[in-house]
Amino acid sequence: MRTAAGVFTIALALGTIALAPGAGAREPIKIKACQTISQGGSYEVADNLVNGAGFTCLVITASDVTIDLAGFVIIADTRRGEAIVAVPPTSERLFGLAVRNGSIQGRVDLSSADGSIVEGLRVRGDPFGIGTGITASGIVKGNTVGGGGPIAFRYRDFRHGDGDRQLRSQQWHRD
Amino acid sequence: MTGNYAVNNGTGIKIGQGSTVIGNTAINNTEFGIVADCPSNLTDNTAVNNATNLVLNGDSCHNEDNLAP
Repeated sequence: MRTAAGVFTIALALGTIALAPGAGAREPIKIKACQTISQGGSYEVADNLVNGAGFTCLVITASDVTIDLAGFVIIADTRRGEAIVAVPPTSERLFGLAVRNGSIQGRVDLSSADGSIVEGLRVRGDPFGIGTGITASGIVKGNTVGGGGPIAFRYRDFRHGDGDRQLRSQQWHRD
Repeated sequence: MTGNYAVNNGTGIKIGQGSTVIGNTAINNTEFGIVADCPSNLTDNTAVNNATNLVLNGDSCHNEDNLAP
């Protein structure tokens, strides 16, 4: 009888652990400094990021990257004005990037990626006067851009299949 | 793109061919409010108090219920 009660207690404890919120869940990777993101996955900014080193703050070189700014601010370097930029490591374009929920002083350029999601950003649109506040294709939703940059939003929707890759390139260069 | 807001820039929203653009607002931009390459679908957008509110480049843009005087 005592053995049965012990087994029941252990089983109950294991069940409680398994059902606990977040059990087995992986947390987003925390971002506490400007850096290159070279692996797909979930990232969460954990502090305001100020880039004074003359480089882009967050460089995305992989597909399927999700960045949640969690309400924090990214302040780009005044010499480049780039807060978040997609840079494919090869000639292939990136796909499936998501950036959301925070403030940017500088610009977000995902022009080298298709099928992105950009939402809930408040961009002080390139106060350095050298580019576009948000450049993206895919879903661009619920963002604000202001503050004197040349262009607030530059948007392309490339859901026409592979046939227009050449057209796509021409469009980007035409602008 | 939908539900975006562009204020006090040079150009507010610049759109490429084949885009769907619904419910956006461009205000007080010193050059253009919304500039679109056609064909694209522009519906329920607002562009006011820009130097030029709405420019459609080419034919066959769907231009419906946009406020761009």
